[in-house]
Amino acid sequence: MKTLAQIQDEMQRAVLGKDNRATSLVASPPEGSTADRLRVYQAAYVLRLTDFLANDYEKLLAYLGDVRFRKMAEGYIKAHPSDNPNARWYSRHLPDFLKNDCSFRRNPEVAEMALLEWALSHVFDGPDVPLVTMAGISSISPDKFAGVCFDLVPTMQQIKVTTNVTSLWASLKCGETPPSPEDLETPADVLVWRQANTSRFRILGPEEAMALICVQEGMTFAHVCEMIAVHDSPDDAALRAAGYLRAWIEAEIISCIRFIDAGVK
Amino acid sequence: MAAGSWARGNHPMQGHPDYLGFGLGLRPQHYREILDGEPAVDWFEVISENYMVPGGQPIRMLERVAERFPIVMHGVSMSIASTAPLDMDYLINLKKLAQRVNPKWVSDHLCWTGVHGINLHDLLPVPYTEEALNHVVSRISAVQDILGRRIAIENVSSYIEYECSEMSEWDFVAEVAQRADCWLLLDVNNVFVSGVNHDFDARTFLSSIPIERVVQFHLAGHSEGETCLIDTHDAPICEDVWKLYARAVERYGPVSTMIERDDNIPPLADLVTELSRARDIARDVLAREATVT
Repeated sequence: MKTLAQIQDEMQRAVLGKDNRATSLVASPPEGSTADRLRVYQAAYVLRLTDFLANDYEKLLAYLGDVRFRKMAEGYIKAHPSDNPNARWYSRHLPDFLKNDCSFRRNPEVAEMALLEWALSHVFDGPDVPLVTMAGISSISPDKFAGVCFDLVPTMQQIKVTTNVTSLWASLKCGETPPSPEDLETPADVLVWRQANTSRFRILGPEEAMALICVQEGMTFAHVCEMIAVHDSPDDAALRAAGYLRAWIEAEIISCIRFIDAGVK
Repeated sequence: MAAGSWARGNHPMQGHPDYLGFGLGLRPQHYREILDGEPAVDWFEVISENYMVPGGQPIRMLERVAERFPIVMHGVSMSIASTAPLDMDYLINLKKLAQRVNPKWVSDHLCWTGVHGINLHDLLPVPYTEEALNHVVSRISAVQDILGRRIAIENVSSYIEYECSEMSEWDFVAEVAQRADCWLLLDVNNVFVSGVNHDFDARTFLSSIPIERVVQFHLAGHSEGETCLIDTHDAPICEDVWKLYARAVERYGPVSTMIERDDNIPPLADLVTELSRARDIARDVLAREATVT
């Protein structure tokens, strides 16, 4: 008699469609054949994982249409059996999968749509952390400001796109026919974040994108101001930096103020 | 039974959970109506995994619902019958959620969901053998030790039976409950679906499960596949399942009852109406029983 471990191994192989050795494990049913009954589990496996993908990538489903989406899902399911007990994480590899999928080589907006949707869902239920307010900033004494650093919330992502994927997403959100996919003249950074329990995104200008990367890298705010000054006109660099900081605080993406020695950058 | 009060060796039936009445599965589509209104629902069951996320809106909404309604946590990924090692990360996260939500009890299924690091996201049946029984009992005991509470285990719908089974499903379930000293969540729809699929009398199943172990009933809809019934939770409860529910109430008395709906989710009002039928059936059966006795 086979052990429980052997039975589960053979059943799993059958559910994954690898082989049908498990047929011999199954008692003859009152209706249909043992193979018919195993097919219920095989079909349910593909259907369920396809549903996970469809739930996580609603706009991609709308963009590709049901038939293309299901074909794409079949490929992903074959390449990525679920390795996490929580269905929430099953589809996390889809952006990379699409980026490397040769059938979408001429459609980079497809992988970027997945990247944007995954980022939106990722920030939606990311960890809650304390937020810095404008009042918190105002309380910093001027002599300490040179050495101030900011930590960003874990519920923000800065992603790079090369296509008009944000316009495509916005059209699909409104139920409109999306515009034709187009390459951007230069790649753009998109800030994806959670504000008031809602996932949001916006395209960052090159200077703000650079400044935000500097903050993420742990630079002091004084150093960030210097970087802004050399990026564009130095005349009102401090003012522009203050404007970005205000926007980030109002967007709820600054979680902590740290002070380091003024000499350290 | 308060969280953390369970300890191995406690008298088995001490701390039987309170009767909660009639509940529904908590679904995001209904958050607003539940929080803004006064739905005729006594308690809510949540899918544990849906709230095992780092933060944000889901956990916040659950905490708001939990301020007003008793909560029961129901998982789909414990894989209690798997021969793979217990997933300790999963159990730790489950315990953290339970500490945060303070559920009346925690449940999962008598099934396995995968081996070799793969999760099939399905509730696969076990062979009803002495080997499987010993395995499941030891795993439930370990989980109860880790969680610090007695858990409830649910019978699943199945589409196959194993050639090597040495006992009936109902004897297996009853034996698991007694030996592991756990509660049972009796899914009436699953009993019906498996009864049709494997040609057994659902009433025999009901009459074989120890009354004192059952803390909850599940009711749900199913659909008809090509050669068997499929447990889809996407339709209203059918007449045959309502009849079986009446039989269950006859045998078990008042047991906390809820309707599971996971697909084609209708407005909350429709589910509340369906729930009122469960109330009516239970009331009528219990009144009749009281008259007879």
